[in-house]
Amino acid sequence: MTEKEQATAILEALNSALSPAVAYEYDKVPGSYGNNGSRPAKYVLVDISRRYVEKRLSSGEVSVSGGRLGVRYVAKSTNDARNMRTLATAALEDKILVAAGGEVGPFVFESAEAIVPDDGYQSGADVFTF
Amino acid sequence: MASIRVMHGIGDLADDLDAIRLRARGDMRAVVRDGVKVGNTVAKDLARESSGKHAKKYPRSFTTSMNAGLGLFGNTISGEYGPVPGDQGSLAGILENGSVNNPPHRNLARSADLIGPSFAQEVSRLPSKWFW
Repeated sequence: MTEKEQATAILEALNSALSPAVAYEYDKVPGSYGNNGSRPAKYVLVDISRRYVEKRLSSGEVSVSGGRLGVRYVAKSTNDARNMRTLATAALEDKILVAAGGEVGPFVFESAEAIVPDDGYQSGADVFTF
Repeated sequence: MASIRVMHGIGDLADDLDAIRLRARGDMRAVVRDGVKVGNTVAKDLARESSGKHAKKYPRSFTTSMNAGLGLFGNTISGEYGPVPGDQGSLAGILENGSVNNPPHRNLARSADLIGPSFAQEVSRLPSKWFW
């Protein structure tokens, strides 16, 4: 699965779990990063990157394509952000997403950030590895 | 043909165990300290690479410390590395995991990915060093 396919699968899963709130990549949020429109009252930010995974064999080269997924919940009210956290966690944690290109997951909880005031919004984050 | 012959008695083993008892904690502490130092170096390098012009002084806030206590059950050796609050070190809150306006940098998470496995290896190698 390419990174693009992974991102598409993750965004789709989040969008169907969070509807009507939308999950965006950082550059796609309306009203920020020079995009048209105004910033939504609640939305989710997603970032994906590959991470180093130790090889388990002492001989031979083993390449593991593990990744890290950051999900940031942004809302005008703490409650909305919390609800989005609950829905997103239910959709992702320990789940394997199946898409056209293959499978991605399971998403294992790594760390979290409390929901705190952030530039006029309330936001907190979860980090998963997969 | 060269050969090596090692003779060991139960008394020698008892002496060894006695000696290991004395040096074990120091050795373990040294491994933790090394791990923390290397992890910090990696994290600091990653921070230097990703901090950009607004957080230029952020990498300078990365330090290490060994925790003095031995934990609740008296057998935990631990240390910490990462940015300390104050000056640009306080930016850690928005740089590591990002914020509403900034994507995350994950300097600490990436350094832990790298250093975690080799730290575990170092720890598991200790017993064989003691019995050599």
